[in-house]
Amino acid sequence: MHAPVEKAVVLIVDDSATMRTLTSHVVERLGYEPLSVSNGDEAIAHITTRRCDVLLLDINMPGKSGMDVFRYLVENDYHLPVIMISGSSDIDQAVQCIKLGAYEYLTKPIDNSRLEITLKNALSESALKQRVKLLTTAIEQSPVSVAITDIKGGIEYINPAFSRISGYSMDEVLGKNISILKSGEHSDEFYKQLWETISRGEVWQGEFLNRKKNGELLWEQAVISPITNNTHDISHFLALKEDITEKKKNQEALAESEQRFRELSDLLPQPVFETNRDGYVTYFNRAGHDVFGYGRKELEDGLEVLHMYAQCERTRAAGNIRKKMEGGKVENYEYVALKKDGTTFSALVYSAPVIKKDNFEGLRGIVLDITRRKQIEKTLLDNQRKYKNLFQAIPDPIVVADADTGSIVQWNINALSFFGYTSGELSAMGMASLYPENIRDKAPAYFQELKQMKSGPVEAKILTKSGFLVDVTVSIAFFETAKRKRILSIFRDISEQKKSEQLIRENIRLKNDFIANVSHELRSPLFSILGFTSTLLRDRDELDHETIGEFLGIIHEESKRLSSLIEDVLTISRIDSGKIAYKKSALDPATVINSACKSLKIRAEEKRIELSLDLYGSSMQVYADPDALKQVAVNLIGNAIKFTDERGRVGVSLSKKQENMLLEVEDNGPGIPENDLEKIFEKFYRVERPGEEIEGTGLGLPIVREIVLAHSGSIEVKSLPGYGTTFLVRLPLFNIEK
Amino acid sequence: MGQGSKLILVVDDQASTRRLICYLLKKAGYIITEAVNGREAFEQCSHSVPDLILCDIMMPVMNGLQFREKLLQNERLRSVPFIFLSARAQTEEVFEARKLYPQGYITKPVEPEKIIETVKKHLK
Repeated sequence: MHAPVEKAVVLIVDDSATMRTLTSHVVERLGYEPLSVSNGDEAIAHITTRRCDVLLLDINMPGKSGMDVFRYLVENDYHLPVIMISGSSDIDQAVQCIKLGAYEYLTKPIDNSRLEITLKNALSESALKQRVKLLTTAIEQSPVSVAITDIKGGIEYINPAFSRISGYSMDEVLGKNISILKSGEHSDEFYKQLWETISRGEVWQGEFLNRKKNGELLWEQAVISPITNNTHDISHFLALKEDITEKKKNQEALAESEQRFRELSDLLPQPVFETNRDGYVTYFNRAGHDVFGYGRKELEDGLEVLHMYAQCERTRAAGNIRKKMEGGKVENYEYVALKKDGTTFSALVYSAPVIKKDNFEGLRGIVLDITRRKQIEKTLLDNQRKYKNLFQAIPDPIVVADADTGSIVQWNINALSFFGYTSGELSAMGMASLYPENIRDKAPAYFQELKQMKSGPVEAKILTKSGFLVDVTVSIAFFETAKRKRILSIFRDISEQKKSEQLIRENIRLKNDFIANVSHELRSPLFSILGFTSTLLRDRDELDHETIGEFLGIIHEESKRLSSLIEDVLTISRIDSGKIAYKKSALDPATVINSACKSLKIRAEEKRIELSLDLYGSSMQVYADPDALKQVAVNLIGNAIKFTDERGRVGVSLSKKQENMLLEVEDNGPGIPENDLEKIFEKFYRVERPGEEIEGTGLGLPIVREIVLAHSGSIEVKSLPGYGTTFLVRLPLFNIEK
Repeated sequence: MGQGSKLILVVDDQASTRRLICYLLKKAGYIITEAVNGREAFEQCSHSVPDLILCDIMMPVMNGLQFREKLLQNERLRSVPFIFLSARAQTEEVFEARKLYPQGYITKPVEPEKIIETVKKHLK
């Protein structure tokens, strides 16, 4: 439904009621809305307050005449078509009103058809004027600069905006060519093209850089249209221009800032990206392209941001992106990122939603490649594990303490077993308490000294939980961890080493003693042999038969002594070096011992010693070397005879005791003093006997002991000084079953 | 031989050694007395002071070094010429013996002439 077209309001002003009624009828019939008033004041009141499109104004009225009303309207700038109604007498006034701007005058009696045409023309002209006024106002008020030129560019019109923008007033430019605005910044070709375009009757649009009156440059966006006349020839050009200097500046600033952003962003070694709200990547910085391997074309074709994540990460990543979109927080930014070529890397992806006017427009984010960090972390972890394993695997006890407070903070397993403390106990201790009390105070000084690296490992004693003092060397190292100074002590148990050092020293001493003793024992008989032989050689003619016999006897005895000494020394050194090979076999010990006694019986008889044998009480077998066993018997029984006084008694008995053979050699000699008992098995040890010469090598008992031990047996001696001595030898019985 | 008046004390636990030295010294014209260890020797010295002592080191009961120390502590016996005759040839023991100011130190084995020579030298 169209809104009903409002009828034009025609105000009829006439003092004659008949005239008002007649005219109203006619006006109404013509399709207008008639309103009527009877005098000038009412007319003015109506016009100034209500709508009125055209005025039929009677000139001759009492009070304010039509002339007066018209003047009022002109003076007060009411622009509406006024048709003066005059009688024959007041035509002059009507003509005067026309001169003043009234639209027309009609004379009474009014011809209806004349009234119709006049009203119609008045109304259409009024409407036209109204429109022209509107357009003019629009142009005058427009912020857009407007210029109209003739076809050669001569300015015919400019609006105030033109003046304001260019600085030229209307008077200054009228008749001048539009080229006064040229800045010289555009090429001739530019203007040529412009002119060609508009001369062809086409509209030219573009941007100008013009120059203001004051010389400043001025960017203008222009639309230049040709205006044609009724013969379709171009008569004018209309230029509409907008000052875009500020906009240009802003654009430049924007472009500059955008360029700065791009350049900065491209400088970043980390990929930076943006997505649209659908999750497609819209931007990558240079690193983004380089790292992920996607070109601009691929972005334009559509690259889902989820393709930057490894397949296994996409569900989580999508969830996190959704969270981000909703303004939520994401806990874990770490992902496995996926490149175009299919390779992956560990990355932290930080992103933030892009919000424009409260709407989520997409995501903006940065990708940090943490492969290297991960590697370092892994290496660190590996090293830490390696260090821990090493720490635990080192066979020496290790204790780490705080260098300032001395409290124990770390230890390896060996430290626990070595010191005997539990982890709980160690953690509550200071390292000084690992040392015995007498050096506990010195411990800090040790560390101080070691701190300056003045010494290597230090020998010390440590105190275990159960109170044992253990010889150790302590190596100290200092290191820093988490801003704390630590002191690491590695203990090495050197008690075994000390013992073996002691043993080596003892062995060297024994060896030296042995050599000294052997050489002494060799020199003595040699001295006699040499002395007597040289005497015999020199004095044989002077010496009597008896003396020569005596000397030869001595030489013989000493030679035998030398020989047996050499034999014993060789035996003992063979035993010591482990080179002796016993030819063991199962044998009857009684037989071997009995045969040993045969030669000894003669010596016993010489000293008139009673040698009693009890060898065959029980039959048995031992696994032994017969020669070695014989030597045991000879040495023990020989000693008994040697050390027992004349007319003494020596008893030899053989028996079975549990799983052992027991050989007892008993004498009623002087006995062995208690403090000598332990030493008699040492090489060259001889019990001193007042007033008596000592015979023998001092090797007999050591040889016996070595032989017995080599046969898995034992030897024991019981003696009571003044009453006698008993040697007991035990050898394991030979058991066929075993 | 003109040595008849000189008394020499021979101290050694080995009978064969004593026999040899006694034979050699007697043949050289000296009067000999014997002891088997330091204690016996010291007892003899306190009865009659010898003109020279020829003494072994390794002996039971009282060894030669102890005997020599004992003599040095004795006014009367300190100046009796003293000769060690020992099979001990280790530096340490020789050093120990030398500290006791012996007039001589003879290492066994030795040619009999050497013993006589040494004795003669210290009896002058």
